[in-house]
Amino acid sequence: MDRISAQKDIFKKVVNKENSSIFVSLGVFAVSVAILKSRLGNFLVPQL
Amino acid sequence: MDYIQTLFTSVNQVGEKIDSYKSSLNLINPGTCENLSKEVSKDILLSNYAFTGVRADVTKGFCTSPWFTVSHAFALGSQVLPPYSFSTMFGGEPLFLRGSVDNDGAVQAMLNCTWNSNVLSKVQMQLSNGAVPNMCQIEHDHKGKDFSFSFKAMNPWYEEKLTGIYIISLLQSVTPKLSLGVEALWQKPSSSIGPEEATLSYMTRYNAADWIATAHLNGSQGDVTATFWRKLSPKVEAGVECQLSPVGLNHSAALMTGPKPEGLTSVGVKYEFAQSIYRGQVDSKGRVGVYLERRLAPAITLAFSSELDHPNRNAKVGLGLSLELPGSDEMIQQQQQQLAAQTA
Repeated sequence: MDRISAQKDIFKKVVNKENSSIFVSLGVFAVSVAILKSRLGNFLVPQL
Repeated sequence: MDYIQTLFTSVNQVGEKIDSYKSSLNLINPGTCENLSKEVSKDILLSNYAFTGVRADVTKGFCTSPWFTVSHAFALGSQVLPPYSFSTMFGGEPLFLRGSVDNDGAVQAMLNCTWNSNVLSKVQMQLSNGAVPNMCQIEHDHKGKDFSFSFKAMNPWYEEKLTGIYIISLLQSVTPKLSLGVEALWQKPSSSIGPEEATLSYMTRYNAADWIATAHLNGSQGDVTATFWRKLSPKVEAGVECQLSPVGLNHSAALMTGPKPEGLTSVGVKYEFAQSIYRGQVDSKGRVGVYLERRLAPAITLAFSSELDHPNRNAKVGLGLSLELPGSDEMIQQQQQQLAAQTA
């Protein structure tokens, strides 16, 4: 139990409100690159 | 004497071996450090295109070889563009000159000199009597077979000691797709303003033909910028840019409010059709932007720019009209040929 709470504390120290902007940006970047690199990115191409 | 001759021969042999090894790698020129993430930052994202208010440009060309044009630009409701500016452009081999003056008397001048296909020198000057500081920038670019070298001096001056900002950068291909680069900046303001500063930045670029990934690390502040670009079809390109900073993306604001980690990711897409170009962008702070440019007639282009900042409940809208008047029969023919080629 102590081990889990210690791990939660570490997580809270790393991901807090102050640097949430960094993690949001990283997440958006990772998801966007994954979409563009895969076939999912083709939804941006108009089928005329 | 024999020793010196032997030494020179050995050095030559080593040089030849290095050259032959580099030739066997089939390396190509990686582009310049300035254009490391050009495909995303300059071609897709709206930072170079977005404007607010109403804008009108009237350009008249006088000859094509060498190219010479004059233009009048009018702007209303813009905080960046002056209400009126007059500019001229002269382009030929090897010189390209551009000059402009606005209603406040601020003068901007640019001179590019292409010594040969691999060596280019640039001089830029900005003189004004207002809030914008005077600026002089001298730049020299050298492109090798597998590297690019650049030297830049901003406001170089000598008053007791050398002052100004000096930047040296090198981008080197290490494989046909991967290139690595380093940039050194030395800033020496006059002693009354502050201490001197030196920083190193590191960069890398991976070009896999239909997609390009780049990363840039600022060694002193720890700012990281990563981009990814992909050509989805011949007319559609998409790109992502991620900027992370441990002290804040706006460094001057961070000095006032204190350092705060900040990140911003912008995703953009560009559609390029025969008569129109559409650009759209959305970022991780909830801002949505669009820039549309449409050629209504061979000489008339209409531009529309808009940005919606949802969290701050703010909106910016811009409308622009460009007229390009041909000055001679030769230019009219050229314009018609271009139009025919686009519609074909």
